[in-house]
Amino acid sequence: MKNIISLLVLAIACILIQSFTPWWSSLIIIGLFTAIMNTPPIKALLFGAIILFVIWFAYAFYLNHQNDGILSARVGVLFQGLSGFKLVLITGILGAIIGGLSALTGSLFRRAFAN
Amino acid sequence: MRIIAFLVSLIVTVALAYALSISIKIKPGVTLPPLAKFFCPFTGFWQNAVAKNELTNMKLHLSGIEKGVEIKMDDRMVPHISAQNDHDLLYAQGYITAANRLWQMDIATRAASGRLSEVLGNRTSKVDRMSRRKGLMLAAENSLQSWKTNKKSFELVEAYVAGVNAYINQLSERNYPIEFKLLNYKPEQWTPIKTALFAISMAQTLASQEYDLENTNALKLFGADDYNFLFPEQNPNQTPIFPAGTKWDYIKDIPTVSNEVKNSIFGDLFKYPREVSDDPHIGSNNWTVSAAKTRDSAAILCNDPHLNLTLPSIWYEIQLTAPGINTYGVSLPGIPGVIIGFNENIAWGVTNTEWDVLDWYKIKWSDNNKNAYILDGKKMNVTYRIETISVRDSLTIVDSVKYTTWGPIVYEDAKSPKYGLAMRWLVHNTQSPEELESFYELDKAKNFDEYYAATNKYVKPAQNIVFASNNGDIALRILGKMPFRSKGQGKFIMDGSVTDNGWKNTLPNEDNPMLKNPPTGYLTSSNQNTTAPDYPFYYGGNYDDYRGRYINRRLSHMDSISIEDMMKLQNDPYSIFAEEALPALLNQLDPMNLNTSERKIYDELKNWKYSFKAERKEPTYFKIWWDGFKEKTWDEMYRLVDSIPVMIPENWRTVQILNTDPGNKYFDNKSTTAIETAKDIVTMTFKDMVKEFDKFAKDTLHADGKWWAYRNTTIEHIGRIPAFSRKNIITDGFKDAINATTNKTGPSWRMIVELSKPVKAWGVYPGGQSGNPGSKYYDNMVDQWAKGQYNEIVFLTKENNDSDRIVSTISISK
Repeated sequence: MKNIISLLVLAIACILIQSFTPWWSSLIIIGLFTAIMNTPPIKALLFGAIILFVIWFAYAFYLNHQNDGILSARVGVLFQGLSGFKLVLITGILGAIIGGLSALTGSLFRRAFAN
Repeated sequence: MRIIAFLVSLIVTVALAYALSISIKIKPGVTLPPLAKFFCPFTGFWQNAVAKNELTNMKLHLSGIEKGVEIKMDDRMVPHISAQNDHDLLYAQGYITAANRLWQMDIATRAASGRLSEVLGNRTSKVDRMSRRKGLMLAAENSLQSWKTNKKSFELVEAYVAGVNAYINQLSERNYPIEFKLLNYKPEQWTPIKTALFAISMAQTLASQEYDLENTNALKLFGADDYNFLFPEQNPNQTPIFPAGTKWDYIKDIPTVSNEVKNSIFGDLFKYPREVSDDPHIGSNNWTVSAAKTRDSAAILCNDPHLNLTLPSIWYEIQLTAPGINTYGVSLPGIPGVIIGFNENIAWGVTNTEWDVLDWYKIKWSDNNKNAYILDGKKMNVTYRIETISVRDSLTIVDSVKYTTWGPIVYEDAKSPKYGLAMRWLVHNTQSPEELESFYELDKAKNFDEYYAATNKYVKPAQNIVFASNNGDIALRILGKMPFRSKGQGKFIMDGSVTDNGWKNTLPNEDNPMLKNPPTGYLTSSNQNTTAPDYPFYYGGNYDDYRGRYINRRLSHMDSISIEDMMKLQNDPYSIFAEEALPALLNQLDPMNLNTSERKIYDELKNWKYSFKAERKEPTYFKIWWDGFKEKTWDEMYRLVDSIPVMIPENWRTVQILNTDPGNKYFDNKSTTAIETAKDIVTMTFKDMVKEFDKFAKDTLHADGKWWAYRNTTIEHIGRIPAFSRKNIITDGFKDAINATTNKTGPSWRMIVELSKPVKAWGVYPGGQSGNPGSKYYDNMVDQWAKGQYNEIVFLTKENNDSDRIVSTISISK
């Protein structure tokens, strides 16, 4: 339960900060979060990956859907003919990689300097 | 240990984040956008994926608005702007144009000012260097300076500029057009100089074509007798805009020409490569028919300017309404007002005049330092303009361009240390304080007199502006500043060491040719010769030989004309060129020499009616055959063109020689030992054509060799991004037909206006109102255009200020 609540809090924080600042600001938020919460490294990695995957994937999926896939069909051609859904998936995976890494970094920071 | 683990993780994270936020060049010409920034759905390209129904009501507060504006968007996303004064009207035009076409505006002015390489890198540095050498920026600076002397009209530019900036200033990165995100740069503030640059780039497209180097080399290579035989000035079959016998006595003072021009037909050939070549297929059609010739007794005006077909389109449709003005038409993104259009009382359309306004002068350096040149026996110093070209991810290029009394030295050959070529271009330094008022007053004009007064202020590029009004007047004027030339002046490279070889003056618009309410009941122009040889002035230039003749043939025989007739005519793919060239070729071909498959194609061609329809194969046969025939006939020139600019005889002259002189020495192909006549070349190239056609048609991508597949029309994205372009457009047309669609140029806007009360109009262009590839309005008119269909235009008036086709409203207040 505690995990789910903290996930939700972090998700809302990420969405809010990303709406007004450059894309990398959520990395800092996620890193700070795992440092403050003292999340163990493996858990942090999963935590960060899942959270940014879900946010990026879901938002891209929504934007693509309400656009009828007009833009993703064109941008897909730029990336070797990828389909719109694959672009959405790549968006999620990119989110997962950077989210996971920054959560891990936050967690390791806490372990390196705490006590 | 834990610190090391943290540091490793930190470094990996930061390095990855950095790598994903910069552009990475993966191979020449292919640069990846910053991936995380580009994919992040909060800031990247997903933000450009606008809602399918993007037209929603909005309320905006913009501090530059004086009284308030309402913009109604119709179902094609055409803005209908209603304002209470000129300032608010043009401010809103700037705002809404930027909202839809910002990246196009940015890249077009970068191209004109030689600043593409700042964002595109090395691949455009050559183009930038040529734009700088040609002095486009200088021309824009001079235009702007002269606009500023006219306070009233300059205020209109300032209002437009402020509107564009109002849009830019409220943008955050997420809302940048997608091209900025792909190329990873930011929009700049708009300034009046950028509006001037846009105007100059149009002048460069329409009024910089000349063949001075090509003519000079041809004369040198082939001698005067052959030159005159191969390159006569006027096609005797031409139907000039102003027919022979037109009275020229209205011209007040015909200046006398005293000087004889000294052409520089000496020394070596001019081997300068033509780095930036202009497309010779750019042209246009316009015509108007009087009320007496129409079914519904109202004059009709038609216009279709042929330009490069691009996405976003060069045109942006708009309606502008304020006290004293209610006009609809197409505008150029970057320039206030409507350029081609109509209002409640009149309509107008433009075609390019094609008069020669760009000459080359051979400069004789006084010594090897090349800082000074000889003029009238005296030494003159050049002035320098230092051009600094920043190149993304590369070294800055500094080019000191030399300016002479004629203009900039564009070509300078290190191998021939004595000479350089200076460019004299009318557009560089023509005074144009009233230029911007010209179109805006035309937008407001109510009758012939107001059209006449407005167009008198017109400066550049020279246009044939056709006019019709609902009180029955029709007219056609040639407008724009024209150099007053002595006979033959500027056809060849001239001696730049004699002041007397320069232009003496320009002609006032009042003295340029005009026709009003002719007995024929119609007026038309389509880039053909302006006048017959009886016109008292020499104007040079190169002209279309076929479209004008066909339009005249058709209009002179038409009566009780309907809108549908005009739509059909505007899309007509019939070509007089094919009508004349094909029988000339077939006449030299003996069918007994042909095998079965050749005979089949011969029979098909014999029955062809010269119409370049998309789904036919005959146009493909004909085009391959003609191109092959022309290349083998003029092999004397074609083998040189890659190294030396040289003239190639025009199609009409080639046909004429084929008909009248089939034994001419030029038919002999130099690469063979035998001596060929026209008959041999015609037969050889026919057989080659059949082979080439079979090879082409076998490829499954080529639709059995149908004309549309062979012509291969692409509407290319301005940034040459294939994903944002439209390829393989299936449509009729050929460069010498009214429907002048080629592989990359064509009718960029088709407009038909009926001057009834109230006025009615139809229009279409191969693109869409939005510049966003994520919008359904990006290319929604392409298929309609390809099929020859039109949109009925929503024109709002005081009496009729709403329509069920209005989808949303944007209200702008202070």
